[in-house]
Amino acid sequence: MAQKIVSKYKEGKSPFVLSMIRLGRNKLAMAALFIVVFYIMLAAIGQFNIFHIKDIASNNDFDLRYMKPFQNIHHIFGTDNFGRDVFARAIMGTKISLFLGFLSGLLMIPIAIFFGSLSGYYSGWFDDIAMYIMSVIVAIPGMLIILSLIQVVGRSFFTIAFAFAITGWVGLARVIRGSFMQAKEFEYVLAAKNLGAGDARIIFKHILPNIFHFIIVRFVLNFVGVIKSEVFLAYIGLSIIGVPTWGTMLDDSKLELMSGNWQNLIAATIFMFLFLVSLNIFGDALRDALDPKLKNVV
Amino acid sequence: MSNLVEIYDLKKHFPIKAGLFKKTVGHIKAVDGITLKIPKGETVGLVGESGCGKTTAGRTITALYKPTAGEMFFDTSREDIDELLALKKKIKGLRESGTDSAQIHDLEHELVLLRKRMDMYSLPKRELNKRRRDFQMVFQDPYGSLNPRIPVGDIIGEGLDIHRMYSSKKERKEKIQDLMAKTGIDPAYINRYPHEFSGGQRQRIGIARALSLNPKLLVLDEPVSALDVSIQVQILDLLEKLQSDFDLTYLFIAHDLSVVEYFSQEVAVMYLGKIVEKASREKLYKDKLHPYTKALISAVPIPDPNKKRQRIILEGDVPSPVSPPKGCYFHPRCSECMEICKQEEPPVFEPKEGHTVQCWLYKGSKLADE
Repeated sequence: MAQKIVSKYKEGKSPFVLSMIRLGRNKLAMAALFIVVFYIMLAAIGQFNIFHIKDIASNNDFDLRYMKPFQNIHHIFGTDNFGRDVFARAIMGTKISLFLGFLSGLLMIPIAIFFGSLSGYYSGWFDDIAMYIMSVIVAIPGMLIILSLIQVVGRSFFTIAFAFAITGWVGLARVIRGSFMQAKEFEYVLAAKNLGAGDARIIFKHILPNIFHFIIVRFVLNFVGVIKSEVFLAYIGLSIIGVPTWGTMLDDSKLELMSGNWQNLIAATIFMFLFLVSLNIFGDALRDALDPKLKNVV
Repeated sequence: MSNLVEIYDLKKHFPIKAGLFKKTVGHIKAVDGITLKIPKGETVGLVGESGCGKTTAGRTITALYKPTAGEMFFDTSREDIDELLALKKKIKGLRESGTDSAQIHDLEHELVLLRKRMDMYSLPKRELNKRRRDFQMVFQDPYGSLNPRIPVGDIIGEGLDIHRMYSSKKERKEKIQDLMAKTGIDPAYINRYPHEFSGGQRQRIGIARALSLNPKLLVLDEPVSALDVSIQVQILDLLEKLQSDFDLTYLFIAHDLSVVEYFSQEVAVMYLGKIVEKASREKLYKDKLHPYTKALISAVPIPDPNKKRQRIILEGDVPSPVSPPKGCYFHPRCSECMEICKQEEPPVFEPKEGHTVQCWLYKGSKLADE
């Protein structure tokens, strides 16, 4: 048969591109994404010390203690009991929260993929062991693991991120395991096997890309859990030392409130609330957009 | 004509696990001892109801499932097959007569060595993956058999990637486009994704993927049952054309008897994991021997309202493959059930040359040698 010589290829759109287009049509999600991006920029300001924000956040000025919001042009959100600028501290807190969420997600996902995919794909003895490990971790209250880890290893940034990762991976690993158990009987997986594909090829090329939406959504929503837990840790006095976080600000405010000073409380709460709400909205929209089963639902 | 594939006593039992320690409480006998010879260049049809084990049989034959028992010889010489089968028979005979176990043990060791050399199912995984080039499969569901995240060009080219069948990117692309053209897909669509194609086109992509490795045997697992009738004919015509172009041998699995009649030279009828009747197409459709085959063929609709005929209506459902009935598996639904059918499983008889049937009705005829 004569082969057609084709000069121009007709490009197709991949399912991922299509779901991103679907996501782009969701105006609420785009607004939420805009806020999230704004927060990422705030975190960048904190990280790279733009506007000397670090110095502002740690500068004690006892003459300007307990200043209420909107009274001084230099301290729009007011000052705390050491006279430090609350707005700058909240921005520094943004940086810590974002990094904690990001790092714990980054640590959590490989663990979850490793256990979830291998136990779902091979089942057998590896599955039994992995399931027992997961059951044990789930049986212990997550906070207890985090607290004991922090007590033992110390209250550094990495320890806390690691502690969140240790408690957070089980849920994702179970989802991945279940999806692998289903997917290994799919006809396109059998077809790859029939072509002579090895296990690594099947896992990484055929199954994982098709369940990656679980992982992305989990990564986004992981921020929510981590930020909330960090506040709790700070409240009982176990958060990262030496840097302002939203949690430590709330922790400080519990003493200040008695003297009628609510600057810390309000600043941290507003920052956190806006971020968590937009993240939740964006996460839900992302899940709807990426889930192949929902693609025809408007 | 020599046989490309010979399958002996193939069994696939899925264990049912239950309880705290996952004890095996039973087996689903999806394929329960089928023997099949597929002549080179021909099409063998495998027919049966839903749930009779056709798909499992196809997947076990292509070694997607590891069989519980059985041998498959692919392009093996007659002498080698006979040697192995004779040895197997000898061991079985010795076991029944109760000879000392040491001798049996030696023979079994010999059998394992022979199997490693010839039997596809005894090959190590790596070796088997290399041999998979020779037998490919076209799947039933055109929507489920293509990975939605990979462009069709890469789907078709995956086999080429795995077996490194090209020396340059350009050669790979040419091969893929050639396959696309041969199976009737516009090669310009090489970068498109599966969801942008219709069911019939997707099935063509599935066929192109299977052909990419230049297989000798193609197992077609109900390739047209999910398609419209008009598309079915197109796909069947394509398959027919490819058979002569690529010198292919087909194992055609279907539940639609009219499609099988149109397409296959030899037909095997399956019921509950067993092949109950096997003959060439002409013989089978002209005079069907097994009551089950009679019932199946009488159920095929004839497009002529004036034509009256007697229909044999099967009562009940296919029994559970977990605990199949005693004796002949078909006896609870059989219209010609006798006393012996309830007690003993019938052997395979060969009432006519090349026409085998597993039914007590043909008790007097000679036994098929298998």
